[in-house]
Amino acid sequence: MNEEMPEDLEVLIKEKVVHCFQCGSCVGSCPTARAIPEYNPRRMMEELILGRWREVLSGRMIWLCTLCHTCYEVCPQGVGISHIIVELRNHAARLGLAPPEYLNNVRQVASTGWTSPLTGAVQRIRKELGLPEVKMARVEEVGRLIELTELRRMMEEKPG
Amino acid sequence: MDDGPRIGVWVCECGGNIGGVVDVEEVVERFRGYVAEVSKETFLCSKPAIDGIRDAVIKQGLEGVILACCTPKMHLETFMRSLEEAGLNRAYIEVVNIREQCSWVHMADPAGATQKTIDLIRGAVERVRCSTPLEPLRMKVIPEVLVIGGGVAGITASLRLAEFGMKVHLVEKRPSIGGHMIQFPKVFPTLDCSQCILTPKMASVSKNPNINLITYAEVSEISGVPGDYTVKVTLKPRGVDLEKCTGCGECSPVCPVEVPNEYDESLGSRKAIYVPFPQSVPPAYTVDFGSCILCGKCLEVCAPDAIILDDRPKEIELRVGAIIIATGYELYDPMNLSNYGYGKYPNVVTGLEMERILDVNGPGMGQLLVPKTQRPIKSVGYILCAGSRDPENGKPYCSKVCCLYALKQAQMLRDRGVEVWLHYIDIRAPGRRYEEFYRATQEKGAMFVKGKVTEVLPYSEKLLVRGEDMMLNIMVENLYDLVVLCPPLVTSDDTLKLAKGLRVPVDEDGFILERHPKLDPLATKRDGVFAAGVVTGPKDIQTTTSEAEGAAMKAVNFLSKERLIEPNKAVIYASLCDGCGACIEVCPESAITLRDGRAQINELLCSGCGACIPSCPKEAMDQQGLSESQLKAQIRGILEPSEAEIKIIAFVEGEVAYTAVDLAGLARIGYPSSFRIIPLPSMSRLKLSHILYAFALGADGVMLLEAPEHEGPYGRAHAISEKRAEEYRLELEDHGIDSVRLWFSRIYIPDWRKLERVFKVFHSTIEGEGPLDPETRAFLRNRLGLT
Repeated sequence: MNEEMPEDLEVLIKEKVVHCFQCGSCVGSCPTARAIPEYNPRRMMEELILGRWREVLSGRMIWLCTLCHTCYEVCPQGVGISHIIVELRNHAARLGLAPPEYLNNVRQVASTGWTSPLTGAVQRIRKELGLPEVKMARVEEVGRLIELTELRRMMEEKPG
Repeated sequence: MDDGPRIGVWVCECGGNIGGVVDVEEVVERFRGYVAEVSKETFLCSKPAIDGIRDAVIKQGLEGVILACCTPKMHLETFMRSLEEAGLNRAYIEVVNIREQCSWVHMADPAGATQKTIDLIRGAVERVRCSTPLEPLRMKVIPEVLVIGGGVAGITASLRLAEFGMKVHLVEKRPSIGGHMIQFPKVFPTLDCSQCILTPKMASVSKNPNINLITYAEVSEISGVPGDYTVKVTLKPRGVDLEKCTGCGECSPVCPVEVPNEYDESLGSRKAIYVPFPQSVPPAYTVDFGSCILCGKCLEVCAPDAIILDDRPKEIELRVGAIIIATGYELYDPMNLSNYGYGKYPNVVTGLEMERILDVNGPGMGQLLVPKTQRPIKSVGYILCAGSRDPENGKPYCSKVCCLYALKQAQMLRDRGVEVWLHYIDIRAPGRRYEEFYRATQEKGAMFVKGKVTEVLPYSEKLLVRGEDMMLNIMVENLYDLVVLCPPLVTSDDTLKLAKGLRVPVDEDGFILERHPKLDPLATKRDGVFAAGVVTGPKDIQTTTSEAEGAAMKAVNFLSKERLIEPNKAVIYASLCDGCGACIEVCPESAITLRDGRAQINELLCSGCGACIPSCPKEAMDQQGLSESQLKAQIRGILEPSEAEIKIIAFVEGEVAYTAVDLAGLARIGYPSSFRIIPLPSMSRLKLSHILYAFALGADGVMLLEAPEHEGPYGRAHAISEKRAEEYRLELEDHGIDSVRLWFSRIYIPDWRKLERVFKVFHSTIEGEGPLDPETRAFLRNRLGLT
């Protein structure tokens, strides 16, 4: 990846990320870090400050966050880590760096309107629990949203 | 020559520094006959030259002296002293800066520099012709000091003042002096016993005849002026006669009321009649009327009959010349940090509570026990930066002492075999013997985990502390018997109330603002009010006592002689004042009040910034030493007879901006000779009419060089001037003058290089516009009633 740093990413780092003083509050409070020891938002922030944004965008860490926003709450410096991770994902996606699993998920949404497939097993369990039958989503509206959010282009550029 | 004072002019050649550029002979010739005496000197600052001027003043009966030489920042005081001895009043002595403002900056333009020199000297001559004598106000000071706060800062300051022979009134709100320091069993980095070193000092305070110790009392009102304050002190009802109580302690055991003891941070208890701790000073008991049930049992056992159960608050009045604020700190309330469980789990305590737990005379009486549950403490986890370095959830600053006291407590715990873990972001131990103290703590086996704790959770009888170990890059989940939070030291409501009463500004965190953070850290922004210790920000005991000593000496200095107050004050012509109050709104020093429907200036509070004068719609105000007539005479003298092609008056703030202009001269930066500088305390002194007057009498441009807001002696006034300049610009347009002819800039001392560009740009703007047309000038002259 040889691209220059996107301008809004640079602004984000200069205005927010630079305040990170590596206290570890984010990692200490992170449920993902508890389950996946190599997931470390603090190190991600340090890498951004030190100019290693390409490594961060092309790595898999940013996709592990569950966006529970606990790090956002506890950060004493107001870095807003979870919001930054969303931005990083957007940048990665624009640069064609989104992982295939993620793109498959987008395709799933594009074709059905749902994030998880409506399998026979699901339908059976719903019936047993007395839940109503699932109506089909309005796929054309979902498709429109996908156009507007550039997801279509992303999928075409990098087929999973 | 007119009938004004007989004036002598001396022009200095400064070797070749001035004479090499300015035609000094020509200058002297121009003033011959215009003033009573004019001559030149090679070095005006030499002793023979100064003596010569003195002799001339005496022999020829001169009443005014103009010295054209280097910047007044160099020798003005020397000249003043010498000429005042010869009988001249300081209002009649003017230094004209022809080196930094002429020869050094117009080297390539000797003719322009000479013309400018002549104009500037003429301005000074005309100004002196309008001078009136100035006498500094003399004020007797009250040679007594009020020290507020009886902690280690207040104790140290009081003792030092008393040692000097100064009368001290030490006011403490609690029943005993000693402050927080008396709560600590040991102090870092020496680990010596805090009570052993402080108790003798407390005893000295009570015995010193120069110290009037007033405990269990609060300052309720302060009025008056620096050097003579009237202070009202409210004595809380103590219920015990200090004179009669022998401190025998018979009363306390019979008292049926038991309440939490403040001295033990409420971990222990006391009776409703109590001494906070055995070494209390004064040693007398106190009745806590908040919890006393008035059963009278104590009365029965008090042999000296010292108890007064119907005691009432009393008010006393003190008169002091100076005040030292030493009201210390409180701890940030850790209840705000909900993830740490303070107040929810009995085994989460603050560092201050831990001091008491560690004290052999603390609530555990030497045993290390968890409060309430009384479980023995075998392992302790410290959470540093619990609310400090945390602008989101606490305070943005580093509280400075927490690392060190945590290290101290860790050593004390390790000495008793307790497991200690410190969770930190950074260990900060700069200070004498502090890094060594950190090493010693490591050697005693304390464990250090880098990474801020995010959560404290109950885990059977213990606590689970969760955080990152950033060094190992793993999650830590440790179990401790006790968790100690280290919250930041914060200012107190009492300090804020006091600051408000004294009109002493505080910073964004509520700490008392120093007069200058580097160069005058013990003075506040108010004359005669000093501060020591944590009231100006978190600090250790070493620094606190140094500050207390320093503040005491500053108070002594302040009160050692009668105060000479600069006679540069604003004045009001009472007959013209209609009491509209516009000046009161503007005055940055709150020095103006309305009395009997007229504005009245407190000369002791007035700083002389002049900001009020333009605000008066009745033109009822003026300033001593910088009167309307002096200012106008100077403008007229500089401009009217001048033969220069383009003339620009630059009003320059007299301290910061003026020094920057001097520095530009020192660096020999070249700029056009069209600028003629008139120093002012602040640009807020300027009226629109001064600017119109300058244009009417020949100025083609007017420049205002203001200091940055809050810089320099009249800093607060500088905030006002920029907006006024904006208004003046609009007014100029209404008078047919293009507003580009008025320039406003703020100049900071290090900005002096920028001045070259500022001067050049404005000069070429005015050159481009050309001289102001004669019709506009004639119109202005007519408007201003000039002939």
